[in-house]
Amino acid sequence: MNSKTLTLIVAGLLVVIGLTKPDLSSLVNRKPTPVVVNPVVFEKPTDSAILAKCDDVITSLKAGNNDRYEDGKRLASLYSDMATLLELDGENMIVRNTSEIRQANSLSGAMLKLDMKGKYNGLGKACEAVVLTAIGTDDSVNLDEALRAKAVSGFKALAWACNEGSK
Amino acid sequence: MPRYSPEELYNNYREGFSGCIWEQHIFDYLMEESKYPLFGAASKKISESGKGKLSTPYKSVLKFDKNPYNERQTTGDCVSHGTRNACDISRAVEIDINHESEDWLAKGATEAIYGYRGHGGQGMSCARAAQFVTKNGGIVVRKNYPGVADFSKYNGNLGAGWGARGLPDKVIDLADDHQIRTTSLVRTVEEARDALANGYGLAVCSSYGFSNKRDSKGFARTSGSWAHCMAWIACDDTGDEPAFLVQNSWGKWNDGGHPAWGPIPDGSFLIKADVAAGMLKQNGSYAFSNFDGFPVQKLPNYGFDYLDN
Repeated sequence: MNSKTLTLIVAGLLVVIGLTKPDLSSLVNRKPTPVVVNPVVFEKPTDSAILAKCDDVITSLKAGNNDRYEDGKRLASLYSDMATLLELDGENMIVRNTSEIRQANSLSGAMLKLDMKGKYNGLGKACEAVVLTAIGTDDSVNLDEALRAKAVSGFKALAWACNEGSK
Repeated sequence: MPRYSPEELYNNYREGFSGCIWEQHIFDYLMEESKYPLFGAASKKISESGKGKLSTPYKSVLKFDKNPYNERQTTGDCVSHGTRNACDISRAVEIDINHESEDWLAKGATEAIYGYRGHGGQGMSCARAAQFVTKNGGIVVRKNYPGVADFSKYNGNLGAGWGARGLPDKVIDLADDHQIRTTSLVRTVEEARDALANGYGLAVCSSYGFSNKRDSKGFARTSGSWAHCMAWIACDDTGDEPAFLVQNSWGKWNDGGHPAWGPIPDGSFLIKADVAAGMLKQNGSYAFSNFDGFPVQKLPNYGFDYLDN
């Protein structure tokens, strides 16, 4: 590239800048933007019956190989998100009944390609038992305020258990 | 036709009323002509699958019908009630798994089954009912079929009246459109457990009678002898041995406790494995499937299938 061509390019850029008048202040006054990290806190369930069922989840994961570090964290994150989803009510309501909990969970597992079939002995049954204990039924019923709260607590407990099992 | 109270039905059966009868030639026909006469041979892939599990397939029926077991038989048609209840479980589980609730329509109707019994008296064999729903007829549901029959409400007289003169052709044609694909004789507790764990209901004819009082855990002890058919609708194998939930067709005829896993429907009770084994040995117990044989079916749960085999 000769100097004439370079001059033309610079001139062209100046013309474009002159015409569009972009705000270039951010290029000269750059301030560091703080990165806000919200660490997910997994709370230990207080209900003794749910806690007992969580023990089976932890045991199942801990009996697995080293993949459990990653798998446990992924599951904990999923169930934490499920709890958030279940909490949505009123105009934001997505999950209306217990059947839709099943569908949401099953779909989430498929979407995240969480195919861990047989990897952790009895993990699915153990997870099922936590949710069943929290909700108190596997009948197809609408979620009223109380039942929704129970479902949320079940998935939060499950998130805690999976996180514990990952350690 | 008298409309018996639950107490009258209880006493009638205790005093020797024959709701279920034995027809050797029909049994022989079923064993010779069926593709899968015995459950064991038809269900190798689900062998032991119910071990250690609580299996409650009747809850799929409850999703589509809030009161599936409220019909109280008014005549000797217990075999048709037991068979219908068993078939409804198989039907409901399949629909539930596939999320096709619009396919349910209504619970099954008993009248056509009982009308096929082949005589004008009371009682029917479980083999003949199994033959009807799988080979010579099928299932019609509780609705009005204009020009054929009104099955929308239970009418014991209808089925009772057809016994001697036989079912109208139109009813047979209607039933034939919804035939159950497979029925097989169930002979052991393990087979019954595995059938229920995969969503296949059972109709059980036997001579066992039971108390109308359940204990604190939902069990009824044996008492007297009934020539009777009842459906088995759940199995709890989480304890030392399998326990079965038996659904009667006498309305609210009994009371008492419930198992720890939840309330059981009116008119039902739990039986222990030794009692179940005795009933099954009498060669009157059939499982029903809408498939070729009895393939694996995962009963509906909270969706953790991606974690377990």
